[in-house]
Amino acid sequence: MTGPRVLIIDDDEDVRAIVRLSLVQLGKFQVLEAKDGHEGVRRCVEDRPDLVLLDLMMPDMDGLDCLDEIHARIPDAVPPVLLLSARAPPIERNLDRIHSVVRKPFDPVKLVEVVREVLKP
Amino acid sequence: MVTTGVETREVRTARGGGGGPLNVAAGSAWAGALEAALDLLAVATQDGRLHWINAAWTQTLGWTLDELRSRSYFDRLHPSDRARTRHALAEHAAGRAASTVVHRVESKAGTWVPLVWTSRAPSSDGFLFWTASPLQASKALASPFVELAEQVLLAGHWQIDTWRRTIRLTPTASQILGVTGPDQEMPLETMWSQLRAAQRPDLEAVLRDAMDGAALDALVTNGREGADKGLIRIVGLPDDGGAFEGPELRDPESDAGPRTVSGLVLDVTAERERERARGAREAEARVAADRRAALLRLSETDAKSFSSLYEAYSRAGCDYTGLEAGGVYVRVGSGLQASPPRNETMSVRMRQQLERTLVDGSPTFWTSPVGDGEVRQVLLAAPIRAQFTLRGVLAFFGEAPFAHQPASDLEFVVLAATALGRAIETLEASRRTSYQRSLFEGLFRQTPDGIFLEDVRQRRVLMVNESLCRMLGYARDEMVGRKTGFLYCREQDFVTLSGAARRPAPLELSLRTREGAELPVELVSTEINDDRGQPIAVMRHVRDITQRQAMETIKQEFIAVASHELRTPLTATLGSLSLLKEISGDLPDDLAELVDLACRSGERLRLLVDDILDIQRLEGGRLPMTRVGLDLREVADEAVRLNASMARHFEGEFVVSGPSCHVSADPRRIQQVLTNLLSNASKHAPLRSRVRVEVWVESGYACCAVADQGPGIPESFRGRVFDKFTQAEASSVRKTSGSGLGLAITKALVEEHGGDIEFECPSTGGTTFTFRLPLVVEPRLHESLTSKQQEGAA
Repeated sequence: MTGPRVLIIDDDEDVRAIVRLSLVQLGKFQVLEAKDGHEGVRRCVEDRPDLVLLDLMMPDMDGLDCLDEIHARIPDAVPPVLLLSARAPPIERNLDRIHSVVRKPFDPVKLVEVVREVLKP
Repeated sequence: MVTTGVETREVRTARGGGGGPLNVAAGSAWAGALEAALDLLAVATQDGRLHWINAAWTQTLGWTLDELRSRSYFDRLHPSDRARTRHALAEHAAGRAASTVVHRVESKAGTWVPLVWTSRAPSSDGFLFWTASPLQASKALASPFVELAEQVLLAGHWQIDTWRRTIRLTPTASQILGVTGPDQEMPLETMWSQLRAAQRPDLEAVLRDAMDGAALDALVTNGREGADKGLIRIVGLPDDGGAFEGPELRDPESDAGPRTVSGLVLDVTAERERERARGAREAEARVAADRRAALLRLSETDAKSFSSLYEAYSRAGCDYTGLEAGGVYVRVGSGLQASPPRNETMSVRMRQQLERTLVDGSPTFWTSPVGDGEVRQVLLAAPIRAQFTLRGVLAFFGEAPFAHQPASDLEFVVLAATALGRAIETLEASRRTSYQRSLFEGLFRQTPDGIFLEDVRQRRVLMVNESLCRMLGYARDEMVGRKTGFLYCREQDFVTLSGAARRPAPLELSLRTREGAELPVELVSTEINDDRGQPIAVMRHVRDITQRQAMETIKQEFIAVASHELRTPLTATLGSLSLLKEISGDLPDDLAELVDLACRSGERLRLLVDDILDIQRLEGGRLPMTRVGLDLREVADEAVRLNASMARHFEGEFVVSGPSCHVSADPRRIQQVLTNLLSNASKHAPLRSRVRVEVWVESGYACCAVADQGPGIPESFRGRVFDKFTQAEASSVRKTSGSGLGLAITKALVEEHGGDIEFECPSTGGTTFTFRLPLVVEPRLHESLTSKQQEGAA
């Protein structure tokens, strides 16, 4: 049995690892990984995940640009997006396209709870 | 008898009665005019007794009436003037034409005062009226002319009749020439024999020359002995034919040449003396003038140092002393040192004398008791004072002839030393002034901050320094004189600053550059007052804070990035630990403890990062606030509930009490305030104690106090409780943990809400932090509050 597929887009390998471990160990999710915004968009388009965990601050293409791009590429099939952020600055745009914000550092248990909540049918 | 008559007249005069000329003196209407006359007026008898004089006598001669009358007038005359005067007086008494005599009268001061004197025919009762005027006074008015007149008046006349071979002499001439037979004609042979008897062949020779028609103006001695030989001047005059009465006589043998030769004979001894005296006086005056000029040059000299002063002095003064060596000696400690330093040729004794000048502070004139041959050692020294202190000594020394009397030069040395002192004072004053001026000018011009002066009334630019010109891109001329409004970006700043002079606190505002750009500056205003304390100008000090603001931005960004960069690894660390606990099931106790430890430390690190970010944003005024109406009591309850775990640390409890208090605030931030205060209290609360949270309303504020029963805040730390990164104990002995930012953030948050916070440590122990927030009275907020509560209820 395969669980829902979650795409984690984050430039930090350790963060991707803890997200993967949390989701796999605690939630039996399938986890897809992208190491930057460009790869994230591509995998989002190609693999059509059920949910995206998107890091806000990334080099070259940040989370919000990435979100724009996803919306541009698959406007009708954008999965729910949870934003991962180390800062709590006001997010100036795309607020309506974000399901919720998860602040770093986060508790793995709570992350899994949130993901489950979002994917709840 | 004349004498009796005089005495009678005197009595009458004293009585003031009777007619006659003495009534003049007795107080009649015009007596006052005579008394006040500038001429010397007198009533006298032929024997030279004075009976009345006016005030001019006393003014001219110094004698009083009684003193003058005590002796015969002739006794007071110069011996060589007596005979002439007697002769003139006799002529007057005989009723002949009045002639004028110049004679010298002894003054009370002992000098000879020449008077132009004459008398008038006597009155019926034997009195003579004298008038006289001081020759000096008339000389002063028309000197060359009067001098000539004096000569003529003092001269005697002689006339030689070459045909009849006789000589006629006036009494004055007889007296001067020392021959008898005044005023009568005598054969020339008698004259010559008399002169030969008197051993005056020179006089005979002169007069014979005159007879031969030689132009004559001869000086011969008058025969007196000694260095002060008198002189007789014999002048031949062209025959005027009118000097003597008588038939016109002609030389029968020859028509050529004068039949008579006449001329003057003068005793010019006195004149020569006067001339010599005048010459000496003039020479003296010349020297004095030269000295004055030298001193003037000295004090005006552009003196840069002692050495140049000395040079100036050498040029001006050395000639006067006649001494070879000299110079300025500067005080060094208790001794003296030549300036400029040079090889001394001064003897030991002289050196001692010089040093004594410094000790005594008075001028020194010293000569060696014995000399080498014709010369002796001489030292002239005078102290140099400036600003009331002894700076050194001006000294001249060397060998001087015995005849030379350099003591008089000491005066000059003293004057020169005084001038030196004055020059030093001037120099020092100008140095001080220029030093201060250049300091202030440099300060004004070169300070990197912009400065402009604004006049108080019109608020125009009075002065502006280069830094401000550079800062704003204006030329100085474009700013000076303009009303300062053009400098400010916001009119409000210009208005506010009109009263800001007395508030020295810096203001941050924007100035407008010439290009129209905004320049962020810090501006400090200082009032400049006149002597009476009246404001005359305002100095505005402008500091460009562009860079500071840029730095601030960079700092903010750095902290934001740094905190992000810290958070990312924390995410992995804390996540891993949490996951480890979650999935590993029951760990052995020791491993579980290690995992817990790692979790706690990670959590502390996370809080620290949050705190740093918060304080940074609060200081930059960039912490987002979402204010809503809320009940402080509710927030307190919530905070206690959420932080219940803290109470477990000290095994005690949090207790909340008080009514509802409605405020307008960001609930998350007030929650943070309470969390920080609870955290602080629980760190210091004793075991199993109680931390009270009380809420109440007081004079427009909602108040909240968090009180623990801990040891209180150490006295020494109380002033720094709200500072950043401070904790009561040094970290090495600290039992409690924390970032040291909690209370700083708390204070900033409370103030951001328009409230304040304070603490007290009652003597009974414990610490109470109390913060106040403005109470909400506006209905709109109440409404939103009510609707929110209803929402919550629904």
